[in-house]
Parts: sequence; C-alpha cells; structure tokens
Amino acid sequence: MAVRLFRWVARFALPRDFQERYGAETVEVFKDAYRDATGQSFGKTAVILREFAMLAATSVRERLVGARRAMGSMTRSSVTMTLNPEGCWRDLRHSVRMLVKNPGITALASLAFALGIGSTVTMFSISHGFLRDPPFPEPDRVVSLTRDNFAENQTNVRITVHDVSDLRAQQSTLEGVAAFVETSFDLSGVGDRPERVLGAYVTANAFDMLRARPWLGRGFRDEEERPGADPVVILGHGIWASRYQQDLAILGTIVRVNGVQRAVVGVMPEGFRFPYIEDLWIPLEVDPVGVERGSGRRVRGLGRLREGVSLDEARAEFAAISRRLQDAYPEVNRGVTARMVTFKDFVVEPEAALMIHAMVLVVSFVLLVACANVANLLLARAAARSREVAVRTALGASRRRVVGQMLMETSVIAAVGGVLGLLLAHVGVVMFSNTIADLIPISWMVFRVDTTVLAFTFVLILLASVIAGTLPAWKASGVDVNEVLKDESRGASSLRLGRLSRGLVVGEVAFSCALLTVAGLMVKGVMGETVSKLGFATEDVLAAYITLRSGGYPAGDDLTPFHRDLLERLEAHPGVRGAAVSTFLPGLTAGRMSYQVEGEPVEPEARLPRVLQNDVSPGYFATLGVTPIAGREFVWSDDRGSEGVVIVNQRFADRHFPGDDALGRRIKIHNIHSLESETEWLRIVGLAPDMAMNGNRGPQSAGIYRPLAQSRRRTVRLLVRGPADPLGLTPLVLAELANIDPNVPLYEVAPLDRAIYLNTLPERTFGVMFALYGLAGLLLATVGLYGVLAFSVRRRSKEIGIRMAMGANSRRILWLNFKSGLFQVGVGLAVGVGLAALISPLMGEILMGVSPYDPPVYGLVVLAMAVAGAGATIIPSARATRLEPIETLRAE
Amino acid sequence: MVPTSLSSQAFQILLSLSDRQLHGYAIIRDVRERTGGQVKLTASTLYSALKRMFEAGLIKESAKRPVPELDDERRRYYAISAAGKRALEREAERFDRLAAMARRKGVLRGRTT
Repeated sequence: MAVRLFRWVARFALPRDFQERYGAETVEVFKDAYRDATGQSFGKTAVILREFAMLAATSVRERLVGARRAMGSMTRSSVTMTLNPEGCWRDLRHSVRMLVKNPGITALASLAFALGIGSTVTMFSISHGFLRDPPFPEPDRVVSLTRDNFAENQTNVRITVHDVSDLRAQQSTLEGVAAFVETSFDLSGVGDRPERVLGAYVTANAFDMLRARPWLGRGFRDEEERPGADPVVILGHGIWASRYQQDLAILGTIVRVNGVQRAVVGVMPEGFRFPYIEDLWIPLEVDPVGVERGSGRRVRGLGRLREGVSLDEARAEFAAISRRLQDAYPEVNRGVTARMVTFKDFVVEPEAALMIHAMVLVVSFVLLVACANVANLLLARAAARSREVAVRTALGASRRRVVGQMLMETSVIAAVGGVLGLLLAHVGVVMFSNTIADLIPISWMVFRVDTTVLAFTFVLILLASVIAGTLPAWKASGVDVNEVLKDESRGASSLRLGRLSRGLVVGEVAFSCALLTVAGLMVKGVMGETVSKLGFATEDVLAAYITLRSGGYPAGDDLTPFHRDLLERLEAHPGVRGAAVSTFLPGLTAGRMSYQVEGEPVEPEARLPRVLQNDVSPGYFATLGVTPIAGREFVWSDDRGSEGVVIVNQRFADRHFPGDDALGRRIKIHNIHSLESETEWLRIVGLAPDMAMNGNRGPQSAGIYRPLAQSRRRTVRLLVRGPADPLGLTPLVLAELANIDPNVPLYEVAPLDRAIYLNTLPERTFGVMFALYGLAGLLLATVGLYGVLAFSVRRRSKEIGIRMAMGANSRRILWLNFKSGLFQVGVGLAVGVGLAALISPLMGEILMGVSPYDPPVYGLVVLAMAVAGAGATIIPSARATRLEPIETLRAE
Repeated sequence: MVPTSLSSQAFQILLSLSDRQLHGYAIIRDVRERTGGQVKLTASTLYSALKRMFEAGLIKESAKRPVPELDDERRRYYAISAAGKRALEREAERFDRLAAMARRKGVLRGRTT
C-alpha cells in the first residue's frame, strides 16, 4: 500500500523528464528501503516520513531547476545548487506572523481543513484496514482455486477432492495444489465439556504454500492426508495460550476434536490464522479412491505461483486442464472451469474493493468542499492584502517569491488542520474499530492510524495546500500594480474575484449535495431496517446454534428425536412460552431455492422462479408469536416417512394463487447445491403471514417453509421464547442439553433482536458515518456561501449606497443580492444531483435495497440544501438593505 | 561543465562508486554504512543527485551487467567516469589541504599524518 502510494505521488510530483529516466528506479529503491525497515520499531514510519518529505522537496527542486534552465539563466553549477533554506525559513516565519495576525480566518480555515482531512483520513484508514494484505510472505503469489459453471449459473463454488487430485497430477505452474475448508470444531480434553472453536481442514502442503512454519513441533506430513493415518491436530497460538496456558510440553498431548482423539503435533506462530481467523487445523483427507466423481466433500483450492510464473500463465494452464477434464468426464465436468484468483481477491472480491474505494472517493468530497472554502477565505483575504502585495512587488519581489510566500501560508494552515484532522481520524477509527471490528471474521483486517495512514495524511496536506492555495496566490500575485494602487475598493474589483469565488461556491454546494444524497440513501436503508416491522417477536426470544456432530450422530441419521426431546423438555418449564429449531434464523438469512408449481408450464431449470426458504420444527410460528392465516403448523408426524408438506407465505400465495385457496396445491423444489436435486411433489398445508425471512436486505420475496424432519441439516438454530430477558434462559437450555447429551455445545447465544441488530451493524455504522460526513459538508458549504456573499455585500457597499441614495427601495436591494446567491445554490444543486446519480450506483449492497435514484431522498436533500443556502444568502442580503447610504459613501 | 566543488551527497556517491559499480539502493546502503548513518539518502534525493551528476559527466550508466544470477533487470548500475574520478580526487585533496590548515592553526588536534 505504501509503495503504491509512493508510486502514485511520485508520478504527480516529479517532472516528466525525471520521471521517464528515473521514475521506476526511484520506486524500486523506495520499495527496498521500506522492506529493509520492516521489523524495526518506528523504522517504517521513519522511512515513510523521510521519503515522502524528501520527495516533496525533490519535486520542488527539480521543477525549479527545469524552470531556471528554460529561462536560460542557469548561473550556478547544478550539482552544487541546493534549495535556499534561509529563504524558506523566512517565508515560514512571515507566514506564521501573518496567520497569527488574522486569528479568525486562520482558525476558520484550519477547522475547515481539519474537518475535510479528518473525514477523508478516517475513511481511508477504514478502507486500508479492509484491503490489507494477508499476513503471508508475497501474498500476491498465493492463489485460490474454485470452480465456475456458467451454464448452471454457478460461480466460485468449491471443488471436489477429485479436482484436487486431478489438478495436482496435471499442473506445473503452481508450487503445489493444497486445499482447505474452514469450519468450527468441538474441542475438549478427555472428559470435559467441549468448547466451540473455529478451525479448518487443510492438506499437508497448505502451510508450505503460505510459507508458514509451526512455531513449535512440526507441520502435517503427506501421509496424514490419507485415510487411516494417525489422527493429529495443530493448534493456533491463541488457543494454545488461552486453553493450554502456553504449555511447552503440549506436543503429544491427546485432545478431542469433534469427539475424535487427536495428538497435538504442532503450534503455529503468534498471529498466524488461516484461512481467515481460524486457529486449529486438522489434516484434510484427499483420497479420491472410493469417492464417486462429482460427489464427496467440497473444498477450496490453494496454491502459490512458481517463481517466474505470472497469474495469467497459470490461469491459461488451468483452463487447458479444465478442458481436458471436461472431455474426460463429460457427465460430471460438463461446463466446469477452474477459477483462479489471488487469495486476497478471493477474500475481498474486486467488486467489494471497488465499493470501498468508492466510499473513500465520496468522503474526499468533504475535503474538496473544505479546500473550496479555504480558497474562498484566502481569496477574500488576498483582496484585502492586494495593496501589501502590490507594494512588495513594486519594491522588487518576484512573482515566484510572492506565490511561494502565500503557498507557504496555506501549507501552514493545512498542516495545523492536518494534525487536528489526524486526531479526529484517530478518534473516528477507534470508535469504528470498537463498534464493528469484532464482527469482521478476518484476522488481518485491523483498523488503526498506521504509517501508511500517516503518509496518506501527509500527501493530503500537500494536496490540500496546493488545491486551496494556488488559485488565491496566483490571483493575488498577478495584480497590475498600478491598477491596485489606484483602486479604491480595496483591490477587490481589480482582482475580478466575483466569478471565481462564485464558481467555488457552486463547487461546494455540488459536492456537499452529492455527499448528502449518498449519505441519505444509506441512512434510509438503515432506517428501513430498524423501523419497518419484521413481522414476528424478537425481544423476548433467545437464539443459539446447536450442531450435532458425527460420532454420536452419523451422517444421514434422522436427528428429529434429539430435537423433539430437547424442545419438549424446554417447553415443560413454566417460564418458557415456546421453543423451536430451524435451519436459518428469521430476520437474518434464508435459503434460496428454485421451484415449480403443479399445473403451471415447466420452465428450463435456469429460468425457474426462486423463493426464500427455511426448514422449521413444529411450534416455530407459535414461538415467534405468529399464527398461520390458514391451514396448520407442522407437527412431529410430518417426517421422512410421511407425505412431503410445505407452508407458504402470503406473497407466495399472491404470486401463484391470487384469489384462490393455496391449501392443497402442490409444488416441487429444485436445489442445485444439494444432492437431492429435485424433491417429490410437496403439498401446501399452511399459509403463513409475510415475515422478513432474511431481514430487510433487498426486496422481500415469496417464501416457503419445510419441516425440519424432512431435511438433513446438522446445524440448527434454537429459538426459545421466554420472559422479558431471554438471556436468563441460557442456564436452563444448557442444563437440558446436558441432560440429553453433554457433548453437544451451545454457541452464539444471543437475544434474537440483538442478533438481528448485530447483523446490520456495519450498514448502520457506515450510515451514521456518512450522515456525519454529509453534515460536515453541508456546514462547510453553508459557511462558505455565507462568507462569499457577506464579502460581496461589503465589497459592493458603495454601489449599494449609491443605489439607495438614488432611491432604490430596500426590497429591491434585498432581491438583488438574494437572487445572485440563489442562482449559485441552484447551479450547485443541479451539478450535485448529477454527481450523486453517478456515484450512488457504485455503493451497491450498502444501500440495503434502497434505489440509488430514490426520489424522496434526492428531493429532501435538495430541499434541505436550498433552505440552508437561502438562509446563508438572506442574512448578508438583509444586512445590505440596512446600510446607511451616507455611512457607506463616507467610509470610502 | 566540471563543478568547482561537490555537494556532500555527490562526494559520498562518487566515493561509493570509486571502486565498483552499484545500483541505486546499494549506493544508499553503502553511503549510510560508511558514514555511520550521518548521510542518509532517500530514493528521490538519490536520483535527483544522480541525474545532475550524470548531466555534469561525473558518472555514467554501466554497460556491463553483473553475472546473470545476481542481475535484476529493473535496476541500472552506475559507474564513476574519468571526470568524476578527477573531481573526487580534487575534492579529497581540497579536504586534505583544509584539514592541514586547520591542524596548523591548532583547530584540529590528533594525528598529524
């Protein structure tokens, strides 16, 4: 990241000829220096600060050398020429003196910069946190392998063990093909209660691909991938420290993982997690013998590009292998192609990365507004100072000196603002991190102000100084000395500032309008989630996960007796008002399935309609406080042995049987992700009201429920409805669970409303942040508008005085000023709405289903800004009408 | 155009190149180690200096590459030119003379060699 930033900055900072000869090498050397600094405390920070500072100095110096040469006035040897530090120092002192003399403008400008830089740096720190490299050496060379089947609408799905062994046998561009599948395990000693831990099955070579070595003990051996090998396990540093108190004699200890006794053979180093945050690893069996092609466990592939092989070359080879496999096994591999992306792109898909970048872009508008604001303040001051400048020029100061001096002043303001902004950003990032970092299950996504963020801030300060300072400095220094000294209106008219500062105001209004609109869309999405009714009880419902592991519960076993036993025991307690299990938690997620309705024309598989789906136990609706509209709930006798039944929701009934009775009709379900690709005909026995099955993300859709007893899920969600505080039920549930089977863990226990709340917390957080950014932008724009108009009124006070002396009434004067202000606001809003319409579609899912062109939000923002703009315009306009003609004329 | 005196950076770079050819980062490291960290070049200052020294004819880009297994095609190697050698010698002699003067005046104590 730092390297990319350096390259980017160097491209702008260095003159072209330098760029062409030395640009690439300069970046290479920076890379070397940066790499060498790794591991020293503050080493990276020091290198970055020094390199960027000297880059800025070199940029100035090289450009001056170029300019001097162009003027043909190169008098001193270029080797011995250096920047004149005394001149800089003098400028700096002068700047500080000038700024201290004008504390109002200095403070206002610094605050504007602080808001702008603070907002942008906060968002950048967050995006930088999301887009960090995974903690493996040369992460860009680690690739993931999945498969696509475009004909069947599948992308990025897991591969089979046959794929792994075929790819291993045929490929040569990767150092090896490894595989992994993340999951959670029940970990226990011998005889104690299991603890739920996140872990992964990995092939023996997976750690080699990552260049990771155990800190203690050894990695997996190739033979441990085969069935029947001695059962072993490798622990993560975290588990080893927390559960085993960093016991150095842990190697060889027997632990139980999912009920199987395994010997600990290694402990990974501190900070190592794979694939995301998992902390315990078990060998993945890759033995295609005895597994039918196209079936068996699905895994994700992993590899590392061989030295000298590019990603494209490896992709080409894997595409060729895919074609060979399609020819060799047409029945299972038809249409299947290998999908290879870098592991980083696999974790954060490029579309998501684009969205994160879009958010930084949107927030940088606050900074642009701030720059426009500062530029306007400085322009006003430049007008006031044009006499001073004219005198300096008359006494022989070159234009470059004058511009340099004024730029230096802007830089000092920007530096003060930057430091304040950095503090703001630090607070913002800490708050962000405390709010949602725990919800991000990826270990290396850490949010903090680090060296890269510091470098970014430094660049922002430079950019902001240049953007905000150049125009006023240029304008002020380009004065015609004679004109200014003759000009009586304090130089303002000879600078022709009017059009320029009006243009800046239009820009400010446009950017804040765009920002507020995007923020408004996000807030609307989040508010929709909170306000709209989910359609079921949440506050008094306890939600938790239960997984019945192999061992006691072999694959394919009917788990219904266990569920029934547990629910009946729970419901026997007086405090429990209902208990149920389901595959998905309501209001969070739901499955999606294709289906067909009996009697309707049959479509090809890909074009079948889709519904949300959940598998539920008897008592599900009652537990959520919902009564079926018609028909019945499921009963325990709806099991594998009996007729297939289904409950549909109101939307489903409206879609297919409007005005007709849905009960008794039959549907069939297709599921491309399961072995059971097509069910029997299922009879509709109940009609449920619409509930937000997957929360309020995206448009609501038709939904169906099937009896849990007729599905094969091993992990279920337990729902228990109790008194006001559902968490109080936890000991009871644990006790009853232990009565049936002490080896079944209960995890992710939370009140249902809390679970739903946490699920949308990222959107909420971003919504609040953007609303704050939008308000900051609005504040800056309003103040800017006010400032420009107030200045213009003051500048024209003589003209207004004459007009009034000639008999213009005050209403006319008011309107004259008001009109020009409103015109700027109007143009700004039009541009802003256009910008918002360009950017909002990039925000994608963050808008939570709100249309990127949602008319109410656009309307509200335009209205709010128009009101704010009118307010900022009317005060100075009104002041103009109160001017006493005599006073203003005398004042000159 | 041969300059009358060298900047301390240019002097250090020429000193690094006086007995071998080096690529950019190697120059930085050599200078840093030789001066005990007193002269620290950054990527941009290095190439800014190299550019000017190249234009003044003090250094040349090396046509020779190191043995292939040590070579990295992204890097260019720099070598001192005949003029650079002369400038370096002159500068060193100048320092020597200055040091001798200082010693005669008792400003610089210590070895008299």
